[in-house]
Amino acid sequence: MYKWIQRKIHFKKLMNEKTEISAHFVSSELKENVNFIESIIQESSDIIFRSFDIGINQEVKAFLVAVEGLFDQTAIHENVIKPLMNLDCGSRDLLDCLDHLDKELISLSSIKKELTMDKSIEFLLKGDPVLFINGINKAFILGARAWEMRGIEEPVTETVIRGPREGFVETLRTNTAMLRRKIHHPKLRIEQTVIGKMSSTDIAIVYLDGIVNPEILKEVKKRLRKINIDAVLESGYIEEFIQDAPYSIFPTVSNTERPDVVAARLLEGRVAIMVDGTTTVLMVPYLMMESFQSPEDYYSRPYYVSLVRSLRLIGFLLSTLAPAAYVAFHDYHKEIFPTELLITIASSREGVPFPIFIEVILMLVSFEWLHEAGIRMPRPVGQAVSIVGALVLGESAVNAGLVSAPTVIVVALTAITGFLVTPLYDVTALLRIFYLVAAEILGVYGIMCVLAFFLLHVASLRSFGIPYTAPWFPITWSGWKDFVVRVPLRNLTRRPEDLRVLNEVRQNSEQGPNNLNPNERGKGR
Amino acid sequence: MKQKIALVLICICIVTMLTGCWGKSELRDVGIVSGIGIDAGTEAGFELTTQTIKPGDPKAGTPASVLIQTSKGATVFDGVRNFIITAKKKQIFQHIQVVIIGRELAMTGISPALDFFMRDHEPRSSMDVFIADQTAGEILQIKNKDFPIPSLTLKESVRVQEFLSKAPQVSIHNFYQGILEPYQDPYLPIIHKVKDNFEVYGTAIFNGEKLVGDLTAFETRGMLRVLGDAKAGIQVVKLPSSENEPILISIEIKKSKSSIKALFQNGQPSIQVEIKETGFIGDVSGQIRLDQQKINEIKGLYAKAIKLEVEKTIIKIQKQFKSNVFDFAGTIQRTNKKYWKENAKQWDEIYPELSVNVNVQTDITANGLEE
Repeated sequence: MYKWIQRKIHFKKLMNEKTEISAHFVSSELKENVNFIESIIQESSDIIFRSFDIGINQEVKAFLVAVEGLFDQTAIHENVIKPLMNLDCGSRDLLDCLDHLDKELISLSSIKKELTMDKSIEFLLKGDPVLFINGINKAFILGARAWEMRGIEEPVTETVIRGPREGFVETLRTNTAMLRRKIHHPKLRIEQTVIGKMSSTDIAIVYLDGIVNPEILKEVKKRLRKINIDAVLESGYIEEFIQDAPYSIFPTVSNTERPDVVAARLLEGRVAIMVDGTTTVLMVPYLMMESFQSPEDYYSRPYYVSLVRSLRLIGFLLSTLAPAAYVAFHDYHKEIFPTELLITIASSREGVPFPIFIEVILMLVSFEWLHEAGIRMPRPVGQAVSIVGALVLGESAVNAGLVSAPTVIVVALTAITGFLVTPLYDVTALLRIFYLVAAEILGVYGIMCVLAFFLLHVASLRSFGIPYTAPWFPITWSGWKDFVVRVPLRNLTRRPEDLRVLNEVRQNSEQGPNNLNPNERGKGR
Repeated sequence: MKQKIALVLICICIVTMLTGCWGKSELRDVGIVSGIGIDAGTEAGFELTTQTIKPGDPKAGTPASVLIQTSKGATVFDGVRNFIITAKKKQIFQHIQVVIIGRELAMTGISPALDFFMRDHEPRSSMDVFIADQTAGEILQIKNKDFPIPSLTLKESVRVQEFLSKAPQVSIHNFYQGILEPYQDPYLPIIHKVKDNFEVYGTAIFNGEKLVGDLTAFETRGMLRVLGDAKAGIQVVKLPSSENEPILISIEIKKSKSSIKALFQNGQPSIQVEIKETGFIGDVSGQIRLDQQKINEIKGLYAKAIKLEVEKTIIKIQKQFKSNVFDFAGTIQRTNKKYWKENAKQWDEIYPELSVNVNVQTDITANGLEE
C-alpha cells in the first residue's frame, strides 16, 4: 500500500515536469533551417517543401514549407512565389529589398515575422505556410490558412420554426465571424488562448465588455488557465474541467450550436467559450431555468410562449416523476386512484406476468435502448429500428399480455415529455430511475425523500458564483418576468438580475405605441 | 469525510426504518372491495357480504363486474379477515363506496358494526352508509346488467338525491359525528330492494346508536328542510279553481334556508324554526293566468304545504321517535347556557314536550314563461 502511494506520488511528479524544448532560433543559413524542420517533421507526407530562387538578376535561395490541404495554394502562388521569383530590385541589394518583404512585396492580408523555430513550426502545423530566406534569420509566417469546410447549415439538434437557420461549424474563425455579424459593437471581445499539449486547440473567450461581470470573467479565465490536458477534441472536454460540481448529475455549463442563442446570452451578460473543431459553444454561468427556454421563445408572441414554457416545466416534472408515482400508487397507495381508474388499471393488468416495478423498469430501459440505438445506428437501418421499437415493444408486447397498456402509456408519456427539456435530458433519465427505485421500496414516502435530496442538492449548486436555481431560489422577482411566463419584450427592460451584470439596463422602458408623439400616431393609416 | 458517510448512512437507516407499515401489494394479488353489507348473524356475530371488483378483460371485451362473497365473524374485523377463506385474496378497503347495514342489526345497535370502518386506516371516511330495508345481504346480491358495479351506482344514486331531497346523503364521518355528540342523533338513508333493482328513498332515524323508526320520502324532505339541507326538489301545490279539479302546480325548490332559534318565556324554552324558500314555477296543469295576485296565492299555498310537511315530520321525530336529529339541544345550549346547565340531565323528559313553532316564508321568483 505504502509503495503504491509512493509510486503514485512519483508518477505525479513526472507528470508535472515540464517537457520544455530549449528555444531554437531561426538561422540565417537556409540549409540549417531546412535540416531542422526535416528532423522534426521526419516522414509526414502532407508537408510540402518548396525551394525556389528569388529575383531575376541576383539570386537568393528561399524555401517554403506548408501543410497540404491547410493553405490556399492559389494565394500563395499568385501573391508570394510569383512576385518573389520575378523580383527585380534594380540597383539595390536583393537582401535589402527583402527586408521590406512584408511591406512591399507580398500582398497577403496577414504576415508575421518569427524568430524561433518552435513558434514557426506551431504556425506551420496550424496551416500557415512558412517562408525562409537565405541570409535572413527570420521566418515569415504567411497568413494563408484555408481548408475544406462544411457549409453553414441549420443545426439539427436545435431547430426552430421561426428564427435564423444558421448553426456553428467546426472552424473557430467562421464561428467568431458569425457572432460578430450578430453584434456589431466594439465592446464584443474575443480573446483567444490555446489549450491542449498535443492538440494546441484554439479556445476563444467571448464576452461583452462593460456588461459582463468582471468577477465571472476572471473566474472563467482562471479555470481555463488551470486546464492541463493532452487534447481538446470537443468543448465537452473543457466543460468537464470548468464546471462547478463535477460529480453532480446536473450540468452547470450550458451549450448551444446556434449563434443567435450565444448572442442573446452574451447580451444578458454571460461568457461564451468557443472551441476550435466543434460546433458546440459553451456558456457560463448557467442557471437551471435556462433549460426551459428556447430561442424561439423570444421570436414568437409572448402568450403562447408562456403557455409552452409552463408546459415544459410540468413536462419535466412529469417526465421524472410519472413512472415512480405510477408504481408507488399502484403498490402502496391504491386509494389515490379514483375507483373507476383503478378498475381500468386492474383490468389491463390481469394476466401480466411481471410485478409492476419490473414491468415499468423494463419498458424504461427498452426505451433508453431504442433511444441509444436511434442515435448510434447507421442511417439506412433506421427503418428497421423504428419498426422493431414501435411494434414489438409497444403493440405486440401489450397484445401478448407481457406488458399492460397503462404502463406503455406512462412510459411513452415519460419519454415524450423528457424531450421537451433537451438540455436536461440526461438528468431527467437518471432522476427517473432514482425516483422509480425509491418508489418501489418506500412508496410516495420514498419519492419524497429522493425529491427532497435532489431539491437540496440543486439549491446548493452554483454556476460561477451564481445560484443555480435562481430566480426561484433565492427568489428574485424580476427574474420571474422571464421564467414561467415570458412578458412582452418591451417590458423586459433589464438584464437578469441574478447574473449581477455591470450594466443592467437593456432598453428604456417607454416604447409602447401609447408613448409615441401624438403627431406621429395617426401616420400610416 | 468519515463523519459525512456515517451521517448519510444514519439518514438512510432512519428514512427506511421509520416508515411504519410496509404495506406493499400488487394490484392483482388483492381484492378491491367496492361495497360491504353487514347483517346480524343467525347465531352470534355478524354476517358480511362484499362486492369485490372483478377486473374485466379488455382484450376479450368483458367489462369489469363484481364478485359477491359472504363471510362470518364474531366481530366485523374477524369477518373481514375471514374473507381470505372464501376469496383467496386479501381484501383491500380503500375503495369502499358504500356500507349497508341490515335493519335488524341497526335496531340492536349500529356501532359494533361500524367501529371497524372508523378505526381501521384503509376505509375512507367519505364512504356512504345506508340502512337496508330488510337485510344488507339481499341488496348486495342484486345482479343487474345495467350496473355491473352496483356499489358505484348506489353511491351515484344517493349523490343525485340533491336534486330530489327524498333521501339524505350521509357519509360515515358525518354519521359518527351524530353518534358521538351527546345530544344529537344520526340518521341514514334507506335502501329498498325492488325485484332485481334497488331504490333509495326515506330516512332511518336513530336514537343513540339504535334505529327507532322510518321517515317516508316526503317526511325526509321535511326533515332536510329543517336542517337546511334541502338543495332542490319539486313541491306540488294544489291551486283550487272554479272548475271541478284543482290545478296542480309544481314548484322547483331553488333555495331553502332554515334557521333554528331557541326562545325563552318564563324560563321555559321553545324552538322557533324559520324556513325561507325560493322556488320557480316548473309546470302548471291547467290554463291559468299567472298575474301577481295568482302568484301571491300560490306563494301562500306553497308556504302552507311546507309548513304542513315540516310540522308533521318534526312531530314524528320529536314525539314518536324521541330522536335529537335536529340538534335542538345544541341550540338551547348556545342560547342560554345557564338554563342548559341546570336542565341538561332532564333533557330526555323536556325534549318531547318542547314546543316547536314553524314559520315559513316563500318566494316565487320566476314563472317559467315570458308574458
